[in-house]
Amino acid sequence: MLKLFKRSSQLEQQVMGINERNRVLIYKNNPRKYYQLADDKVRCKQILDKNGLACAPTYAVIERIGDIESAWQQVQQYDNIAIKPANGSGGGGILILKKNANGIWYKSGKPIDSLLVFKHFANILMGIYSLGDKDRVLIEQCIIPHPFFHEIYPAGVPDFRIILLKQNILMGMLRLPTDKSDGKANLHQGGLGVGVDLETGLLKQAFDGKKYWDIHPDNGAQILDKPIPYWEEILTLSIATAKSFPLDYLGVDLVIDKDLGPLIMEINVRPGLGIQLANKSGLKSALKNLKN
Amino acid sequence: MNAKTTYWGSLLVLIITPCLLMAWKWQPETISSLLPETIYQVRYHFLLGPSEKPFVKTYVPISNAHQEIGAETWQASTANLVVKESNKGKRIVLRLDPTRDSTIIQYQFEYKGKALKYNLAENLPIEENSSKIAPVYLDSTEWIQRGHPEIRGLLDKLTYEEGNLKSTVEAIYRYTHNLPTLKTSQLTDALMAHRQQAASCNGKSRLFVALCRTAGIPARTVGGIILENTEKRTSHLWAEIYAQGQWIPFDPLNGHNAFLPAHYLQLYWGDHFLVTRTPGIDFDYRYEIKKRMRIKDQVKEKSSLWSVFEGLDIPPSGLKPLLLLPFCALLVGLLKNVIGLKTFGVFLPAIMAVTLVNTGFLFGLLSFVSVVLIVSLLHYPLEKWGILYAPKLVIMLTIVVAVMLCLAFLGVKTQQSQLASVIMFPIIIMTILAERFAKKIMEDSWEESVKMMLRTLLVCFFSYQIIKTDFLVGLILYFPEIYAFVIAVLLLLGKWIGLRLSEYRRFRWIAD
Repeated sequence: MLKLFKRSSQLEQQVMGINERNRVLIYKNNPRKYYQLADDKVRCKQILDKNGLACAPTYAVIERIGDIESAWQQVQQYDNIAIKPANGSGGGGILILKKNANGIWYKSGKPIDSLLVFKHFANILMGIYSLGDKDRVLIEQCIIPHPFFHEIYPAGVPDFRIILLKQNILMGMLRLPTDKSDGKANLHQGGLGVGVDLETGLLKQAFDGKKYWDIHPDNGAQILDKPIPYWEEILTLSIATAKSFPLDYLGVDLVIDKDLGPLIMEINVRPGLGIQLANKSGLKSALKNLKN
Repeated sequence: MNAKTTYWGSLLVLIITPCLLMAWKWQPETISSLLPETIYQVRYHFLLGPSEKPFVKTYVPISNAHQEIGAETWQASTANLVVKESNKGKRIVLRLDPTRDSTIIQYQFEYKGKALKYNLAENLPIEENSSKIAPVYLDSTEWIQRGHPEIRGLLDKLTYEEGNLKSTVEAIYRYTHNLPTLKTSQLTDALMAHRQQAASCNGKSRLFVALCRTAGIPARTVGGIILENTEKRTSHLWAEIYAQGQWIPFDPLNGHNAFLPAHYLQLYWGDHFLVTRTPGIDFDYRYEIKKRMRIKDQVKEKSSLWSVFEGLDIPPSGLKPLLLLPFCALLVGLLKNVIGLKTFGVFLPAIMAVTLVNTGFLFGLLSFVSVVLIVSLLHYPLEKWGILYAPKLVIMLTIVVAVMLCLAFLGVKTQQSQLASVIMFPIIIMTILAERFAKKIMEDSWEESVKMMLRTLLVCFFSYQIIKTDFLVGLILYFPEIYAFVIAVLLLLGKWIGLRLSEYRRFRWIAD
């Protein structure tokens, strides 16, 4: 009984709950009118580009049905493209296309007709992925993950999540796909959350929702104490990103491209609390450290 | 003024004002008058086929210390009505038009009952008692064979103190109560009940009366209906003995010893038939009973809210959901922010609970969930075909309507009024729930979606418990200012930043 009480009060000291996150972190630091700057991928990239912050190069933005053909012509010069709804959520509506030597587009290894791609554009524009609102299509370079990731797990696109408050880094984690998560790296979809030691740039243990692992549970690849490439750049890029947005509490999502290095993928105004589990330490403790 | 001052100021006003108002209105008898009364609306429904001399005779209730009868109405086309009142009860004789093919007779009234509990004195002798009442209550009749050798033999076997009223009655009651129960509506007389060693209500009651009379205790049967929120064809028979200058009830079938429950409608006294009619004609009958609540007069007089509802002609059962919804929502808010019970939609469980009042909880919930599950299956093809959001929802809504019409059709055909009442379900709520459920399966996992649904049902169950609390209706009508408390609690909850209960579990790894 006493032990239970002790553990509970320990949790209260360290861990940030949803109630407190909403009131103390989000409402106080993020004015609602600026949410759009982060939520809309097109607007977000405009700000990133304007401030010279590294992100996947934009190939085209489609605003109207009438622009579809010209935009499609324009992207024919590239070999790897990612098509995204500007206001999609949870990875819905993302289409990755690769061109082979004969100039034919492939989706997950199967050829795809350009009419089907057009239909996908039209669906995005009509808001099928953004709860009925009109939307825009973002076409950008498709990321090829750095070998560092594939040494741990060979499929999917892993990414880093860095949480910042007033341009100070509070916590970071790496999200890794697993066999169960079907290429996705989200924690609640079966992905792994790996804590990051902010000082050294070394990976901590990986958490799968039930257990902490030193190695990847599917293939045994070493995770614990593996050094993250470009760690200093990742930190500087995150802080610079935080400076460019009028939002003080942010989750910055980054990937490392094999050629381009660290790139910002997304900005999140309501980053989740699972990062505390990945790091096996609370955001409240991180806030206290920040003050000292 | 800064935000802090206005917040605490408003909070203080929201707490102090209603306290003052309530103190001003408070009277010692207030609390007891807040609980609404339970009443029953009872309707006899008779259908007579054609005949040369059609007639129906039936007993109708009278008001007495146990029951209050009101709002009596007859709906009997071409009926010629004669009322006969006697010590047997109030009997109606209806002579009908012989030229008609068939006749429907409906008689309706409101019933409010009071449970009566009696105490038999310990050392009361049997003899002194029996002299004060008409000897007919000691007689032998066709079905109550007082003094028959077998009945007398049985009485001799029962253990009791000779000549003592209480111990004799209790021995007889114990014996008849413990006799195995038969589920039959056939007439069983006292002797038959004894020979079969098993009986239904009428056999047990007649045997009880026969044994009492054999022992020299005046007794009679009482006929009526056990009132429940349903439609039934069975009436009930129980017994009374005369002692201490009054009639004292016993029900050997349902185990009521010197006790008459509030929902026992008394119709006649003695051994009669509730309904008699022209012999040999087509005849069908049923008793439709609806349990209702009624706001007490003390509350109606004091409540300005009540006059509004009276003006709008809304029955108390209809205004209940409206009055109680803020309380349900408060509960939902507490469960979400303090316990951490995440549900589909914040208020969806509360609105679900409101609709379940009409159908009964378990049945309503089952049909609600099955409709939702059926419709959520639709989501797969619709998503596969790439149907846009709004058209997709409208298709699902149309199917919800179609499924409900089918259920209602089935309910009407099989005469399951409960099933037919699914037609009252909120269509839009069901559609949204089905869509969210299906979407969560696709975005998350099957297990997470089912868990979320179970949590939604759990919160719905709690909300339902609040809606069922009649006391709250009286409370709000009398003290509408109580809503200010609800807002005050929510203002406090809105500022509370502690860990939710579920988060202690979610983050348990961190405290290791």
